[in-house]
Amino acid sequence: MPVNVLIVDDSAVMRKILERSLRQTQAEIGKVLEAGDGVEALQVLGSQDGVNIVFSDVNMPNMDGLEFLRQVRQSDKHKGLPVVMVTTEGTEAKVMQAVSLGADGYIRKPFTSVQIQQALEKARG
Amino acid sequence: MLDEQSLTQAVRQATAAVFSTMLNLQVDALENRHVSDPPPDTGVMAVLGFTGDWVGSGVFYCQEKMACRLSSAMLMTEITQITDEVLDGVGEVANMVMGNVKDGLSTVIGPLAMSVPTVVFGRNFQTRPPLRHSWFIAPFQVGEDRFEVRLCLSPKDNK
Repeated sequence: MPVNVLIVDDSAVMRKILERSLRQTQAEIGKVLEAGDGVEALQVLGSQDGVNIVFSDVNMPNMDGLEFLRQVRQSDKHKGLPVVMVTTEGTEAKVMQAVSLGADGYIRKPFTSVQIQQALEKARG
Repeated sequence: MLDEQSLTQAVRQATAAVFSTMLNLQVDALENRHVSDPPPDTGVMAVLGFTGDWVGSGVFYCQEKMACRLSSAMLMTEITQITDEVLDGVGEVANMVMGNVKDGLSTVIGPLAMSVPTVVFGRNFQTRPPLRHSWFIAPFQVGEDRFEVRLCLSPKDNK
């Protein structure tokens, strides 16, 4: 079954790079949806069925990635959705904060497609 | 205390990692300098703010040609003029470099929060340090093109 992905990042360039990296993995990537911040991402999840995993930046305007993650985990419909954080915020405190909110993975920018593949496999079990 | 060696090491490691991993470009570090009143710049500049026990700003600056080159490398397509994608790309490179610099310095100056980047493209624009301190400027070369990573940081109570 192809994996449908939602990429959340305020940089359109970074969304393209992440999609390219995902398509370089051995996983069969299906639909790739995009959102520029947490607010848009929640709207996408509310209007589109079939998203299997989310890759989200942390530092974004309007709603950051951690608040987005918090709201996903509080949602009856999406609380089990795997969410991997992809960010320049690599301090231990930030990682622990994301993990305590229920992040399924944490990738630090800059990243390689191997790291994306590993996170994808781990998050999807 | 933040010394020149720690700053140089953090900036060079972060910059080399971002360019080699995300852009497949090798950078050569040139000699650092300190400037209190930089001359007007022309090109593309991404500016980010830092807050925490230390405060200040970080800047990624390059000429138009280098901005197109790094965006071309990121997107794997040839870009020859400044577009929204180029400005976005420069902002994202700045975000990654500065994020890794601040993490590299966190053992020395503690954790810092960082703003999202603001990107400026133009001619003859002046930047002033946000503090009464000089800019630390780390120049780099990629083939015949150059870019600079600039930092102005100071303890919070010593602005």
